[in-house]
Amino acid sequence: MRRCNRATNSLETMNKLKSPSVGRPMIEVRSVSKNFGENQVLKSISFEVKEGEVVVLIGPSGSGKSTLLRCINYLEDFQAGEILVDGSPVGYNPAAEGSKRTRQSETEIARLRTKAGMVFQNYNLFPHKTAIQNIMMGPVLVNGESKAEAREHAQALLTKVGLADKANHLPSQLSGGQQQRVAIARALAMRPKVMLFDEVTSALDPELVDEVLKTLRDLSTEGMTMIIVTHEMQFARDVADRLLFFYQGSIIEDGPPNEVFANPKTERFQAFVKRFQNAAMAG
Amino acid sequence: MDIAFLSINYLLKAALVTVEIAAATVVLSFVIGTALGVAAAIGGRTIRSILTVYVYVVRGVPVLVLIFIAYFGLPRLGVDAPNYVAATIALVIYFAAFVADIVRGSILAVPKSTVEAGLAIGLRWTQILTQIQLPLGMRLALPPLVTTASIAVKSTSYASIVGVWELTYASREVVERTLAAFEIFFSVMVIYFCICYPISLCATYLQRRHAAV
Repeated sequence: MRRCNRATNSLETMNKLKSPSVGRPMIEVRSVSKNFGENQVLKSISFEVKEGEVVVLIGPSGSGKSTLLRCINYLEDFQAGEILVDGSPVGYNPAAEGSKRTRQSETEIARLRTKAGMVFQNYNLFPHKTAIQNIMMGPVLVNGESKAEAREHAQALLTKVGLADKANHLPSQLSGGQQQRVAIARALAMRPKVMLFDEVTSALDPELVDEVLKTLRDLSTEGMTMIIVTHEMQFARDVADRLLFFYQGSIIEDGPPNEVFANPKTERFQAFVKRFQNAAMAG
Repeated sequence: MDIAFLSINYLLKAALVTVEIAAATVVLSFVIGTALGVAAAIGGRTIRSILTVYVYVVRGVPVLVLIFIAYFGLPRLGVDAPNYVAATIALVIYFAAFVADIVRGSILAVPKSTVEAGLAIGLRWTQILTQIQLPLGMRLALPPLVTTASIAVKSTSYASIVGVWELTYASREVVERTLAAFEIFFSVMVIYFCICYPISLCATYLQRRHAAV
């Protein structure tokens, strides 16, 4: 088990208390259902994420957390319900009374994706581009920024994630943790309204996890709206404003982490937490 | 070896024709093949099945037979093409199929997750193609494409069968005149090697330049 930095944690808690998340909703998920063939992976999911709020999704593998995250960026289609990011519908324009929903154009979907930055489990950097080129690509090609402007911003983001000296390295020359931090910078370069993190530490060697989690903590203290899918229980407790527990395509626990951990409403969650505690003690 | 030495100018002149046919074949089949391969990789079912049929047909037919078909078939269609044009058309049809298959496979071999990373930052499909799929796919395609290019260069020798005066045809002329078969064909072998070797060199250079990927 890694040692957790108590000083930083308490500081963050104080920041949280100072800025309670009472903002407008940034992500609205309304009765979203999705199935792969017969298998229903999301069962009429509904929840909201307010501006500046950090929501952590936990749950067993295959419970639908990652799928939901991918739906919010429309990397995954969904069969029913609607999702709004910063007030704009995702994937489909809302149906008029009695008519079918209509699929958005490529332009609309692309524009929407720039609002929601996505970071993947396996970093997925472009292997033929250097760190800084990876970061500059979206701003230049999608947002129409000048190269100079994009480079300056990219360099600032690299500094922010602690990789100022790695700008001209190719992904293959970086460690997993460094690659993941470049991937975070790449998503931030689009100046997104929300950030989506899909098990961003799961592919990392244990000693590289902390550097990535630190970047996430920094973002949360800056007030970035985030949804984080993770298996890092201690991190989830520390950083989350709200914890959602997924089980078989439904959210069965929802609340501030301390509350959820102290008074779980479901046996499923108790069992899940117990398994993690056992694993932690064994490790 | 003086017989070979006397004929060498004649053979080199013929080698120039070989280089011309080879260059036309490689350039045209790579352009057409790449376009088809890209279309098949990103296009719908119709274009995919058309390409599949094309590739299967070409794979099952010897290049020499294709050259005969072009040579005897074009006049029937009312096209009065010289024999070297007919041979080049046949070679292009033959090798474009292989290039298309290689390019299609290489584009599809670019991981879906890398493509998704592009989508996630708001890139359009055309940008994904030009910025991610083509640069990465072509790196994967390079080694098999080089092999195909070398085979294409050497296959120009089949054109001699329909009377195209190129290196192989000229070498047979010289052998018939001089009866020094071994010396002449040995020289021809060296000339073919000298034409193909730069292609391999070029490929090695490109691969080393993009070794990081």
